[in-house]
Amino acid sequence: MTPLASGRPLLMLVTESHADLVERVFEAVTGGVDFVCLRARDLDPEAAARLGSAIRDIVIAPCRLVINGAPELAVGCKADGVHLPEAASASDFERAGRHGLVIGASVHSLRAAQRAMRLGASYLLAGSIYETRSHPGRAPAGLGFLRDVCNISRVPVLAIGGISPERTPDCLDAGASGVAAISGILGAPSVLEAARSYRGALDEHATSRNARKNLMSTVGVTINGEPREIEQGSTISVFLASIAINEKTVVVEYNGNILPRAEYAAQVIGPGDILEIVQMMAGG
Amino acid sequence: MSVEALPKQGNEVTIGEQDFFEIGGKRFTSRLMLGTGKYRNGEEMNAALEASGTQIVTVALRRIDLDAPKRSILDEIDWSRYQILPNTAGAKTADEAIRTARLARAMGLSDWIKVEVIPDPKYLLPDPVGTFEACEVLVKEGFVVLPYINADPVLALRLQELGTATVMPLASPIGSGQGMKTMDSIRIIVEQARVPVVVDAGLGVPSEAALSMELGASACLINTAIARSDNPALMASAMRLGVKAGRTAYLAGRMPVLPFASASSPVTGVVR
Repeated sequence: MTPLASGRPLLMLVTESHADLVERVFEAVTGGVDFVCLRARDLDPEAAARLGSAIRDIVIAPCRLVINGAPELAVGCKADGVHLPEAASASDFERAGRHGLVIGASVHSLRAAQRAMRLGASYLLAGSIYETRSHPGRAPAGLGFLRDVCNISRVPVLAIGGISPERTPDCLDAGASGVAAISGILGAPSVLEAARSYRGALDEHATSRNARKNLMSTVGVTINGEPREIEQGSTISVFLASIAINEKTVVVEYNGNILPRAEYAAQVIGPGDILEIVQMMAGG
Repeated sequence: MSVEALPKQGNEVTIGEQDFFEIGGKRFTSRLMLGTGKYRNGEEMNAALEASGTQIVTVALRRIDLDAPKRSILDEIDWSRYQILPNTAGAKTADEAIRTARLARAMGLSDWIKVEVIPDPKYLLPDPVGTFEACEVLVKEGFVVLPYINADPVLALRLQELGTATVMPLASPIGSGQGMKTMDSIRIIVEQARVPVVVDAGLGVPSEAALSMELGASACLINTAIARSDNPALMASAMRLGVKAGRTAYLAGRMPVLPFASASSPVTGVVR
């Protein structure tokens, strides 16, 4: 299984039917798509293999190709992976794993997400997050669902369903590793511009998140003899809570002096401070 | 206390509430103190505490593990039932023991401290000089000080003069289960003591606890012999009986040891 970790949020393009699909996919890849997911389930095997090979030729690294179809088709097209529907059997996962494919899985419920992870999914495609043109009238699962999937998932989660560049920040904030688009890219007047627009929204969010992280700086302290970085401005109470310690069960020595418990809430830990935090343990 | 002063239960003469000893102004009728180390789990520990009838229980003080915090023993034991006795175990010097004692007091549960200054991990024998120095400071700071010492009668006297609440001589090395190796010294310590003498460490079986009490010790402190038995609650119960038997025998007063036999049956009127 190829690891999916990449420094930036992921953009997946899921294909729909177009006469000039290969050209459009090429533009999208140029525009910054990381993953192309070719939907080949409705095609006859021969057409699927032909289209798969044609797309394979234009999906060049670092962009990767996964095929929504049988694992054997993905292998035949030399794709990087296979994308399996929620109803996929354990055997589909097992065969995909045997071939060393990246395994994607569509999930519409937490139970499906758990099952897919258990069966070896390398990423989850969670949706539909918003109402979509591809599934009109169906109630969207919403950002809450996305957040729940991200909370339980050990693998990257991509959001799909009605996602525009404007909506990508919300999806990333919910914990998604990226987003997937269909007609938002392939149906746009300029596929290249549309892909760039998604790419830009994803990268901008990542940049601002890093900036926010840098603003929240840390201070170096020594706690129980070990150097440690803690959030700047933390009081003793805040720090104890951050490591899930009940302050009534510990005593804190702060720069060599035992600190009365009443002062934990007010005492801000500063750079270079030395803390001893002790508790009662079993002993003779 | 004379036997006449003791209450009768049926035909059994027992000792009860009238027989107590005091530490730091508090009265205790149980003469068995328990340590909380080395138990396989909290359930076994609590069962042993219950079965022992103990009123004084020791704990240690340690740095919390920031990355994997463990449950505090304060949450595992119902401390409304026991006098908590923090120790300074782990301290190799007087300064470390003093620092640990102050941290223990800041926990807000007790100003009692069992002073242990132990530089050597193999035999875990206490450093008499370091122990004395730590006790000197801690007594001045108002702690109720219970020093763990080797069975040295002179050191015991010096600590008592300093104002420690007890002296706690060892029977044999901590956790060794070797029993009463220091019997003769403990006999002298008891003879000289004006504070309670608590035999601490090395006791392995109830007969050894009984022996300590027969010598006139005020109490025994036991941990490993109970925690590492196959059935801690059962061993705790046995230790309780051992301590009680020894204490009762001490009160009863043993017969003198004679260099010759003394017949138990009348020597006259023998059928020939």
